[in-house]
Amino acid sequence: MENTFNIPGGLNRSTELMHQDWATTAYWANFIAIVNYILLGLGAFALILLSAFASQLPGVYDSMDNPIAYYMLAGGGALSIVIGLVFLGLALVINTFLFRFARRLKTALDLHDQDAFETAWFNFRNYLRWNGISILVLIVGYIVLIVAMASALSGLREF
Amino acid sequence: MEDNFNQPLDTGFQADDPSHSSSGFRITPEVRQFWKESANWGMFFSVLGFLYLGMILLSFLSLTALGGAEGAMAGIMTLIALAIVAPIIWLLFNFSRYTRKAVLYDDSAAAHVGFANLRRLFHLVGILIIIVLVFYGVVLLIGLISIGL
Repeated sequence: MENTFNIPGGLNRSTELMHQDWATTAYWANFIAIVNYILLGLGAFALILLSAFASQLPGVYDSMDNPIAYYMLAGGGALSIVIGLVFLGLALVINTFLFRFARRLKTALDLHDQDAFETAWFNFRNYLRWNGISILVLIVGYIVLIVAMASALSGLREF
Repeated sequence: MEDNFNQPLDTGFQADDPSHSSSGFRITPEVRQFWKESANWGMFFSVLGFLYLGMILLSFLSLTALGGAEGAMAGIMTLIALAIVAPIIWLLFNFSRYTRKAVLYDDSAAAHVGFANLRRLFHLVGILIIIVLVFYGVVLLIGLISIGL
């Protein structure tokens, strides 16, 4: 009997099975990206509410005699808004890579567009890369914070 | 149902078959590079994920060691978290492993396995998002009903 099972060939061309997998991947990636956009919109709304609340805080404590407490409140509110803006902006950029990946992959499969196919994987690489760099920065930030707190605590103990 | 026993077992896998190659996309060196970098980042995330799983497992063990109803409840919650996170990390790990293998050894079959894992990963995350959204919707509905709106 003839053996019709081919030994897998080189990776020169995509196959129909890959196309089926990519179609499903693009569909769900698009869905996830759209949900993320909606959540980011809600996050931006929450940030606007927070900034409105934070701008009222120093006014509430105007009668305070302690200027340090006054500036800590005002500064704390401003800092939380800046941190929120940075996180929202970063999340928006990262999510856009996912959205573009999904859209370009779908276009590539529908129109058999080689350029769209390459752009899709470029965006997917960027999506993972930006996520990875953000997580690395976050981990380094945590380590710096822990070291700073530990050194501050040891300094207090010596004092 | 019609059975086609004459069809090769690896139908759809044949990257070098001229009848298939005309319909497929060219896997250019740029695309290979994107896949390789994506697989490397995926491997980084899965290593972090496995560390996270280890921490969840440790907290599960410590919570069950506490004993009592609270310990059992917390243990069950941790186990649920483990059951949700573990498949996601496993699929990401498999995508990274097989895609890297596909690019390094020019292996079409490994690429199929890698992309099948990527499909399952996005599918699973999408379904989890739907479940969470439905859960939030139900909570919101119950909240609105309870305040009499």
